[in-house]
Amino acid sequence: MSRLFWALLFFPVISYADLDFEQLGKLAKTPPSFTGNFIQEKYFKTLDATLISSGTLRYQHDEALYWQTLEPIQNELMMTTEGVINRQGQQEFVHSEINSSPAIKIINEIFFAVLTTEWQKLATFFKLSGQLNGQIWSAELVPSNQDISQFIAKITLQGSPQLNEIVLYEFNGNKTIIHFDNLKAL
Amino acid sequence: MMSKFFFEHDSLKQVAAISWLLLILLVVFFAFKTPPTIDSNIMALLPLSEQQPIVQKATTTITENFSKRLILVLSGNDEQQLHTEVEALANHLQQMPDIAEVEWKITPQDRDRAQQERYPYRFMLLDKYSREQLLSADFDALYHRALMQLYNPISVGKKALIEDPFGLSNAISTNQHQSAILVIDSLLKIKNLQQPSYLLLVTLAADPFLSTLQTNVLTMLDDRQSILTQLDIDLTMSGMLLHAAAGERQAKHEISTIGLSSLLAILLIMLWVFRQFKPLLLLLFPILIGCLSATAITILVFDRIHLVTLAFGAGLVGVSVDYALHFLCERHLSPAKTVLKKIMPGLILGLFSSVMAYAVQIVAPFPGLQQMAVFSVVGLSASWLTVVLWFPLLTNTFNARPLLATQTLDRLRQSFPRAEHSPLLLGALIIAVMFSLSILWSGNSVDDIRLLQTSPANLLAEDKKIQTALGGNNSAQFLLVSADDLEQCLQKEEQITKRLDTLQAEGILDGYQALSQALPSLNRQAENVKLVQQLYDQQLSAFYHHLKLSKNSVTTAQQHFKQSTSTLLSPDVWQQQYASKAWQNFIVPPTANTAATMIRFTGILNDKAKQALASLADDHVGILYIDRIDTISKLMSKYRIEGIDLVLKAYLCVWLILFFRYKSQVWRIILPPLLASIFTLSILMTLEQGVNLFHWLALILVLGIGLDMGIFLTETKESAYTWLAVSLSSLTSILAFGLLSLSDTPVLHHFGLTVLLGLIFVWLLAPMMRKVPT
Repeated sequence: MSRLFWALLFFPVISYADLDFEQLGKLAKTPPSFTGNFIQEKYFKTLDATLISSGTLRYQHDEALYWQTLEPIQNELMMTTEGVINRQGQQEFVHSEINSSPAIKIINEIFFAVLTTEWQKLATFFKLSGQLNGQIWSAELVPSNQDISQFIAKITLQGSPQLNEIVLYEFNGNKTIIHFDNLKAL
Repeated sequence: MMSKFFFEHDSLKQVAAISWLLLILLVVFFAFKTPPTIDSNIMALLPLSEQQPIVQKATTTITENFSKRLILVLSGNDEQQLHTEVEALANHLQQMPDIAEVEWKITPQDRDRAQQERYPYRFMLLDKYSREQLLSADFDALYHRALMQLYNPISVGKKALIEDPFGLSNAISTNQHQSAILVIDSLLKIKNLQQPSYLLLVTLAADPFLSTLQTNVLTMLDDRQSILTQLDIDLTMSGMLLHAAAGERQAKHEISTIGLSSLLAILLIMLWVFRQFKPLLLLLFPILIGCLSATAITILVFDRIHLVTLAFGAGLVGVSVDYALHFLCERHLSPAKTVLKKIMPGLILGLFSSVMAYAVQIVAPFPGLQQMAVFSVVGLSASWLTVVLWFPLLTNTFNARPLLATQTLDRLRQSFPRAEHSPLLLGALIIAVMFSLSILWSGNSVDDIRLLQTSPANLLAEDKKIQTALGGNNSAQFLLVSADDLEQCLQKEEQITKRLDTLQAEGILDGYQALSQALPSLNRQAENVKLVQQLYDQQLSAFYHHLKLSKNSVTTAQQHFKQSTSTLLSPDVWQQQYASKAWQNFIVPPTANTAATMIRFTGILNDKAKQALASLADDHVGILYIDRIDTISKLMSKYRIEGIDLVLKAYLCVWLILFFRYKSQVWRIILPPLLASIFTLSILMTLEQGVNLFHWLALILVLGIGLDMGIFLTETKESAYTWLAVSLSSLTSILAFGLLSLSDTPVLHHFGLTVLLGLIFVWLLAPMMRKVPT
């Protein structure tokens, strides 16, 4: 009893630690190529409405990230560091060059860095704080870069140790929550 | 009567001589009060006057923007360090009075401002994709795009589901930023370069040819460059300023090497001939006065002086030294008081014929030729007057020793065969002339302005590197759209953009930029509003239903739409906006009743593209295809023909003048420079793959010196001293000028080589055409 009591009392102090990118790098690694499922909730502050979508994702190392929304619309995004291509069925209907919009470019980079857990890259854009509890971790990224803080208030991440959830808080009060499930190496 | 009075009164002579010198000093003082501008831009020699005023204005706008622009690129591996250095460089530049503006960052505030200014007009300024879908009534595509934007994990930013449910504003922003530049930390990063590179666009406050501006800006940049090199950062530059400075540096270098060595050679020869210093100083005096007064008057008349004028003017040394040499040589035979009287007819005729030959150029509608004509006429007249007014006074106590060179040269001349009595020589000359003429007949002319390119290869390479990285905006060719007002210009642009799009799709054009892409005409805006109204009618309810929004939202959104579309974006309002600044280069400053815009192209246009654009322009009223390089090359060709015309007219004029005095003997004076010119041209044709305007201009100089030679020899009945004088003047010209054939500046090289060959031929031919001594 007393051992349990002491364990409960001191566990947070002993095992929870401040997180830095290096620690996170050691802990939260994603395989070079992987697949998985996602559920995304987008909350729009002005309408007080949430749009929920779900689908699969596939990351091919050094190639592209395929983000396939299956519900409620069918749509596939192919994201590379060069640009984003949108597919509906067989038809590619919007080519949006990443670099044409600074916002999309940066978000794309961050998204890649987060999904592929390239923490060093994130360190150039954000200040990290977070906690670590054994294999479970949570991190909060606050922009240190003027261009990003213009539209992102913060990003929170959770993993155990693989990434489970991303929450992106936009500057205007909108919020995007993405849950990951069943991430497997390819 | 007057002249007799003048020749016999010493005090009057002194007053005249001193007044003349004072006048020169006064003129020189006024001209050099401020440091003169030396122009090395070859374009400045060429006229624009034959184009329509609006074309001229467009060309001037484009040239001014281009010439005042300096592009700086900082490249390095350490991003953070680059950021610091870009800012430091920008701050340094901004503090300089010679710099009008430095564009080096786009802050989030700037972007916000642009977006906010555009937002009220989101239904009028549709992006290309949205408009195309609406025109083809593919409303579904826009519905899906809107949904996709909403579900896209990486779409952030404004999602005004009521004010702009279909995200038209975002689509415009995305399209607006299609460029080679990426904004990182508010700085302008160049996308297409491997190494991180940042851009600074500098606008100079004044003409890049101003020496003080060149020195200030380039000294500062040199200082920064040495600091940057230590930090392992490269500074690449491109701009007219650098070419202008390089041109001036090259010219100065050549003047100090070629110029000084030829001057030294001339001095040594004169010393060798006269064996004393006084004649040497005497010879330099009229040349100095001639050059000074010519430069001063040219600057006063034209506000600046062109490098080519100076080079051409340097050749005057050869002509003006004639008068002085003639006087000095005659002084060896007669006392100071009587020299002038004896040689006056020859001097007057020499001046008159040379001045006439040069003055013919004034009538050419060609700023470069006019400048040279003024320079030559003033320079020659001033040298002449200096000889006439000062030499009798300065040579009073002249110790006229016999000159050894006279005899040697005269013996040489006597040994020349005379064409009149040597059938062999006559035959050889006729054959040579026929042969030369046949070469001229089948020869080429080179009028391509690019052949006159004077810039060093490393500068051109840097230019090319930057142009490639930035997707090079072509400033040589453009479409000029003119109409009564800007709105009509925009409408005209919109009529032809479809064809331009097709050319781009076919790969004939790399890309184009037109003002109507940023500011559609009011007509087009109204049309866009109608199209969006159809989209709302067709898709809004379904879209909101999908988002589970209330039916009221549809009504509210429709109301918003109505309110936002009540005012179109007028050109006046647009021109007040921040974003319009980037498009100013596309608008030609309007005149009272004409407005004009320019459609500009990316990359280098091939012949197919040029033809397509020319025929597109032909099919539309008020649209002109302008090719500046082609226009200038055509002008060069036109003025080469004009140059030939001038040379022929000069010969005719001179022949008429001389005919009155020399009657049937006039051929002895005219033929040497004429034949020399024919031979020279045929050699140039063979050596230089064709002749251009500048070769022809040099021939006028050959005519000037050749005429003097003939006139003086005839006037003094071929005195040995005259032969010495004219030989020396040819030699000095060959040294002063012929050495320019070694120049790296193509114009000077062409000029120098022509004079070198021409004068050698004149010197050889002149004795051959003389009478056989009896």
